Amino acid sequence: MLNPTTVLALFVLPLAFALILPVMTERGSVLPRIVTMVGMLGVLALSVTIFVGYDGSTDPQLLAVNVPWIASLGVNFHLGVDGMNIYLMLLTSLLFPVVLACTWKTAHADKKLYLGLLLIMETSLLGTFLSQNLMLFFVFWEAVLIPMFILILTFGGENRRKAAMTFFMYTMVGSILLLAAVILLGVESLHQTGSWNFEFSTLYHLHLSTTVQMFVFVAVVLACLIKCPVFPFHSWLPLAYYEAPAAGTALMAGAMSKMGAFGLLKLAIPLCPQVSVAFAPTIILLAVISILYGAVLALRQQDFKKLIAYSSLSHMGYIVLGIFCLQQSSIHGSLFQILSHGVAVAGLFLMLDLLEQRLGASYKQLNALSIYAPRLAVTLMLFILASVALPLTSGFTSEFLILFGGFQHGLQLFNTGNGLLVLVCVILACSGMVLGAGYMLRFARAILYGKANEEIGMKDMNLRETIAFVPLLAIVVIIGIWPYPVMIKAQNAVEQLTALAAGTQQVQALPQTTTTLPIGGADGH
Amino acid sequence: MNHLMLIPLLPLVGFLINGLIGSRLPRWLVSVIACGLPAAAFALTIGAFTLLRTTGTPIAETLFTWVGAADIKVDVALYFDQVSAVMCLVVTGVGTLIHIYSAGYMSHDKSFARYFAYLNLFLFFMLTLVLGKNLIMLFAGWEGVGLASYLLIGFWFEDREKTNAGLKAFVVNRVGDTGFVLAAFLIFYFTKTLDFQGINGYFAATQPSLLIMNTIGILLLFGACGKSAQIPLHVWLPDAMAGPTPVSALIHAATMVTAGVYLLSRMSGVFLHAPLAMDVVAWGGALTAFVGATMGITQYNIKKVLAYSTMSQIGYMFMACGLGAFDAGMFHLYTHALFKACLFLGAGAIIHALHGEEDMRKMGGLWRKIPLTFGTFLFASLALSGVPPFAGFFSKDEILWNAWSAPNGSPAIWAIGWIAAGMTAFYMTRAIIMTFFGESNVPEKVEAGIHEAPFSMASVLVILAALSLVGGFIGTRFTGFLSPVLGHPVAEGAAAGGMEHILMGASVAIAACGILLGCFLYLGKRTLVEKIRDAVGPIYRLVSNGYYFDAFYYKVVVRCVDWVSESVLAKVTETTFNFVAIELPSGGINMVSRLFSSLQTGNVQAYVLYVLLGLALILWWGVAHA
Repeated sequence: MLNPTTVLALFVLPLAFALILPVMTERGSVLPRIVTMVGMLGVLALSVTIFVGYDGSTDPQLLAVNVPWIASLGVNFHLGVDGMNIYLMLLTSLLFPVVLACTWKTAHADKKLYLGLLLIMETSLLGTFLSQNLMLFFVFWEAVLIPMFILILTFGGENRRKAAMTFFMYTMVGSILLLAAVILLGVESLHQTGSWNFEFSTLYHLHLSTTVQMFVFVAVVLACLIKCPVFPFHSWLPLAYYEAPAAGTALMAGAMSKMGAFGLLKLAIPLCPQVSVAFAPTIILLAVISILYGAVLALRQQDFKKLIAYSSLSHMGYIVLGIFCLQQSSIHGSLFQILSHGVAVAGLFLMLDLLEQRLGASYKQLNALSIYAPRLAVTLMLFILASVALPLTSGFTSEFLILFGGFQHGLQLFNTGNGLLVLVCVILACSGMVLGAGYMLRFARAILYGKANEEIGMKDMNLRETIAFVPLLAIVVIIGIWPYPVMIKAQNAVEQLTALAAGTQQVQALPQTTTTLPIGGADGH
Repeated sequence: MNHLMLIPLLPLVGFLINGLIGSRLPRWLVSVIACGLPAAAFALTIGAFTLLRTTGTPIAETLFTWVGAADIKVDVALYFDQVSAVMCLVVTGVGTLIHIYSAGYMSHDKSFARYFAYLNLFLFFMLTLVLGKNLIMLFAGWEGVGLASYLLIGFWFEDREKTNAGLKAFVVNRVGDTGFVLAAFLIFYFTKTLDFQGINGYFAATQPSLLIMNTIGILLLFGACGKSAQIPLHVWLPDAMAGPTPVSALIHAATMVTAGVYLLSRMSGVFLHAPLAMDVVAWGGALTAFVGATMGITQYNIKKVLAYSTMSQIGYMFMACGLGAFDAGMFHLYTHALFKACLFLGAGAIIHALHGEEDMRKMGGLWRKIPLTFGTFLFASLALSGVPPFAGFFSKDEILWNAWSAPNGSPAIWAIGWIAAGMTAFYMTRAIIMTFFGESNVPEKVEAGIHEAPFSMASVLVILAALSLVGGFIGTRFTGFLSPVLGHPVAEGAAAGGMEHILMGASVAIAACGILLGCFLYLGKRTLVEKIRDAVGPIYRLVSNGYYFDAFYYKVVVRCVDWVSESVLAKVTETTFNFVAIELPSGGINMVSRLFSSLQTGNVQAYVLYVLLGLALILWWGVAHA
């Protein structure tokens, strides 16, 4: 089953189903929902097939679709599965059917607009992750924003207008610089190869001067850090996560935020390896500030949604930290954290939505869930434990690998006379373990425990909801207990990335080839 | 078939069965599953232990690779050597007994199945902890027992105080765990492995530098302090008594809290090359032994007396480790598990008989009503007080002897341990007299219902009391068994023999003094006690408030973090960022757009003016650049 058609089908299927929807005229029928679900499950089936079949050394041609799109500009419609995007492909294709299943009975799911937006969002997210052409990547990167914007604007909470505008404009600012960088890279390829070309495989081999690298790096990183988000670019996050409908929040936190992390892995480091290495300590510092800032803020949030939103800021910080430590272990950790956090945070937001569906706004005062609905309580507890990074859950595997790799890297830097900053940052990041336990267990105490005062007649999880959460929990447990078989799928990609960075470090060690730009200060403070 | 793997897996199966469908099963079946599987694990442990004794070679089992990349490889692997064997026997043995006891103790609880599910989950993690072949496996168990402890402390989750206690235990443990994790990272940086044999082997051959070795040692100690309730991370243990009493016996006395001692023994290869860290371990242990004992004297809650006593006794074990006598530490761990489990279970029987009363001031005169419980409690107390020939005497004496004779031991550290031993005897005498003797202070309604423990509970008490009596006689064979793993620095000089006997006499004497003083002060009218208490008012308040550790952590550390969260980050920085990143740009754009739209007046004269102004600007520019 591993062939280019599968990959193409993966991308086309949601789009095709989105186009079917408008033709269906019945109002208030479940048919559109069923059709949408069939499409999403089809995507999931394809993606699981690819995931299981992929072993890390699979020929990339086997899983790539490459057709010229605007040939004269070197823009190809080039999608392909590789070690770097395979987790993201699985995560995206899993989250959509789960989200739909959880919101199945809501008023939103009655509207074809809602279903269509979800499908278009799925297509564009998959497109972003699978793109092997920079221009195509950029198109999808931007395209994701539109359905999300409309989703918040149409189905959001009271303050949805402001939330949607803030979210849209804020992320747009990052994208504009990104576009400039994309064009610059195209121009560079024109100069160096004689023709326009946006294929990643070509761009990775360009020789970019430090100035160009600097510009590209700053543009890409800014766009990505806004997307993640990372401190201090997170101002859009609490509002957007709070006001968006449950589906929007779960997908924004679960899948969309991962675009930022993916951009760092796919664009920033391979395109600008020298500058990445030079700026790594600065980015690591921002990442660690994010971890602690989000965690401390989450400690005193009375509102459950805001609490999870800030915890997400903290957890995204770990991903960025792992990536810029540039060690195999830490990057593996980040990739796992992408999957783990995607699953856990979406699970948490969806759990909150299940409670809101049952109790309305009064779910905010809920306690003693363990008595009212034991199955809901246990599921919620498992997601909480994954967020706390308890061993045997995916959270532990990923955070351990990130901190492990980071520590080794930091100590190595210190030992070779490259400053104490990274080491101190990683040690500070370890205290995120304590804060994380603090806010997550405070959350658990508030919602799960306490005295059941009156009968509120809450239904426990039904079969549909249970089925929706089982795959999420399966990922949490598998990555927690036996991550190795999954890890080898990404091993080649991770190796290439770290080899690139390691090569740079060696070059930098030679005094003749050190850059003349004033970037040395980045690792000094 | 892999027998070792089955040892932790059996309780896990019990957890899954009782956790998933236990609420639908009859109670007898729940308890059979919950007690039977740990018993089977105990049988398997005995099998492995016999094999180990005959062959002398540790059993190792690699199950699968957990993670692997160029810079890290960690296996899921089990290892059964002499140290794990002792731990494993204690955990499965005492664990099974406490499961059986629980079947009686919890028989009226509505969440019977959930209780046993958690208890089995605890055993699974605890066995992972002691059987793990590398630091990651140990850490997985280490955090896992923390989870089980959290769930069981807050078992009666309708009570807010109990869930708070669980939360506190988990978070304080996590503070220690950061030390553990950093130590593991630092170790790996040098050894390139996380495997115990690899680590100890590496450090036996080469040591990076004293600074590094001491840092590793102190980080590990910090981790151990969290789990084993040593100063300064001991504050969670007294609160942890909120859980059901058998849980306090199993987790917070016999097994989990001693995991720190196991960690120190496992990493003895590091400590033997870290002299400063060793001193810190020894003195920290002595301090905890002393401070814990003083706090035990001032408590009125019977479980809290025992909790502080546990803290103090683990202090002794740490002291032994710090003195290089890891085997003596393990020996005390083993005897302590027996008599402290017996004490807690006895306290449980008392609380059970009094329908939940834990305050010793509301007890008294109970020995006639529950003689069996009294007898077993007395045996275990004697063992704890270090009265020969009970088990605790042998192990405590061994530690005190090392305090005197070990290379880094000294009369000072011995004296601290010696005085603490006297206080131990004193507070146990006090507890026994307040509970079992004197006039009854039990309310009449409860008085009528006092009954001896049911068979399942009583039989366990008898077994443990018997073991508290005879468990110490295996002393030399015990240390001999451990010697392949925990080499012991031999005490210098044969002349030490005489000194050893003098010190032994001194320990017996101080235990006797403690008991006599306890009898003198508490038998009969306790007017003298009140006088003494009033005379040392400030000191009494300091001690009975736990030296204000809790107050400090809560009022300073937690409040500070919360204040930063609420008043600084949420109110100031978030608002500032919102203003700079959202309000300011959007306000600015609004203003500019209003400015431009106000120019579009629709008035032709205005437009002509703009044209003229534009022309003037162009002309000026042309002239200026001409």
